[in-house]
Amino acid sequence: MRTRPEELINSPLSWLADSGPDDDIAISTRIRLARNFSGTPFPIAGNQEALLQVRDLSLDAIRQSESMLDPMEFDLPALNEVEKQLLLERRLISREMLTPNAAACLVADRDESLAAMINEEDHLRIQALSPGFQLKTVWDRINQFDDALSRRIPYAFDARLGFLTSCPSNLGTGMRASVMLHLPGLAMSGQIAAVKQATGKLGLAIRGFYGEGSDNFGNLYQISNQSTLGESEMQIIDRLSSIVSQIIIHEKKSRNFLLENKQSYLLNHVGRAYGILRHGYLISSEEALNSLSALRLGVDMGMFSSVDIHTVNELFLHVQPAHLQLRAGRELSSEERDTERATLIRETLKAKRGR
Amino acid sequence: MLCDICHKNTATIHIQEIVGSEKKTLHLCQECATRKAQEDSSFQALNLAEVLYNISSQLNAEKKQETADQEHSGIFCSTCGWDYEGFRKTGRLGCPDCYHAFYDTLKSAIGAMHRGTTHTGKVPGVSQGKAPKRAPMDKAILKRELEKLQNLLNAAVAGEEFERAAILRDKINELKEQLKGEEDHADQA
Ligand SMILES: [Zn+2]
Ligand SMILES: [Zn+2]
Repeated sequence: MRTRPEELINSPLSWLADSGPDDDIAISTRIRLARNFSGTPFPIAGNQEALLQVRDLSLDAIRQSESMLDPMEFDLPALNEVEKQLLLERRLISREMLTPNAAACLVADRDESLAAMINEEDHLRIQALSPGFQLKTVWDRINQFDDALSRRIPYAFDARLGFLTSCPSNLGTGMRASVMLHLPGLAMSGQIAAVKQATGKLGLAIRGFYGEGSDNFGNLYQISNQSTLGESEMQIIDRLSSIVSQIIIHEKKSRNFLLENKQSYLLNHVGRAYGILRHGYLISSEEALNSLSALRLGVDMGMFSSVDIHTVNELFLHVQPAHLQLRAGRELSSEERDTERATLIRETLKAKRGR
Repeated sequence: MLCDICHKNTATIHIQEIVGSEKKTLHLCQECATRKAQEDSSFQALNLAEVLYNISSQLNAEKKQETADQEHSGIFCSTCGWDYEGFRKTGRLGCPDCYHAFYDTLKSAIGAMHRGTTHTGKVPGVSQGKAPKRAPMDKAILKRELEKLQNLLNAAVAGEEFERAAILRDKINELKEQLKGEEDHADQA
């Protein structure tokens, strides 16, 4: 019944490996809903017995809903740190789930397009993830899953405040919708700060995908709604959609501007990155992410016919520490990781070249 | 919650005054309230709340934030035991019922966090697009809710927290209306 995390390493993630609308710039779309059991303390205040009951009832509800084709279940207390880190790198769990909690559990569909975290900050955090920019499709998916669960779970709900969540910042819809964007053009032309300002004014947040302080790693950004109360899900999604469309247009303009006006700069940037990835023997995480970003830009702009963006997308995932370590089958020091990382990238690109 | 004068005993007497648009609360233990009444000769003649308000306003002027914290510090959720301290430390609540207990405390923060204060999105069990203004809670849930509010109201009255009691009474009447509505609706169906 239980799945081991290392089984996941070679299993393709739908949201990285498949094609989706605007996936040259928008890597993936995710919608997450926070839900809780009525009359039951939230995980922060709940006793273990109550939380174990929440876990079992949730697992039953998810199984009975038959919303997942091939569900995998992970009992978090049974996993070691690297295994949990792997799930984090795959966006199946949040940082909150890394802290020990006897009742924490994860259920994910085999293609990882649908998942449920049990006993995270809230009793339930369900998410749907798809490749490209497709908020409405992803909403339909998570909405159906939510409906199916709501027929089996008595949700904590208030007519005025909506879905009741452990943190008041998630009240109302309990919905966090986000799009992961690859923005090398805006980054190279120094426009990220302006984009941040504009999105902030509209109640949206844009931040570096690899967290605070690593803003520019891989030029990957996540844009999401901040407010969850006072607007319907569709209103939030529509506003987010229109802003993401605008950012995509500006990213394309920036890329075209670079191609027309700074062609040798652009070619140099992409070419050097490819050289490092194809021939390097030691590559740090930061260098890998930034070089992969440049390669992805080159692929998007038709400079490499032998490499496709899905290969680059998957490399973004596989160069991360837990993926490298579980692939190697042991813990690796930082330098060993740099060697393994370079080898993995070299061999992946070499295989593509041979085709 | 501790007494505002001796800071030792539990405050059992709560005096609330609305001055202008500001709400002031003074929490006293039985002892200090009695002593205050004996020491202050004009006490008998004056409105108790007014006298005590003068003391509390001095406190407020000195440490407004601390007083605000103190004002909230007695609030706790009767379902899960979560208190204001827990909320302040973590930014989180203990259980769904905490939103009843902490609503007044949270109201302005919720307004600042979100683009609105009232849920207009999906309602569990109702398909999207024809969501009614109010949640069509089933009768059992409404009744359970009513019972809980009635208990909170009794506690508020016993603790002489009359302002809180008034809010609870409004909420109870609102729910009773809703319950009646649901029943009418069920009869028609
Ligand atoms: Zn006292
Ligand atoms: Zn509570």
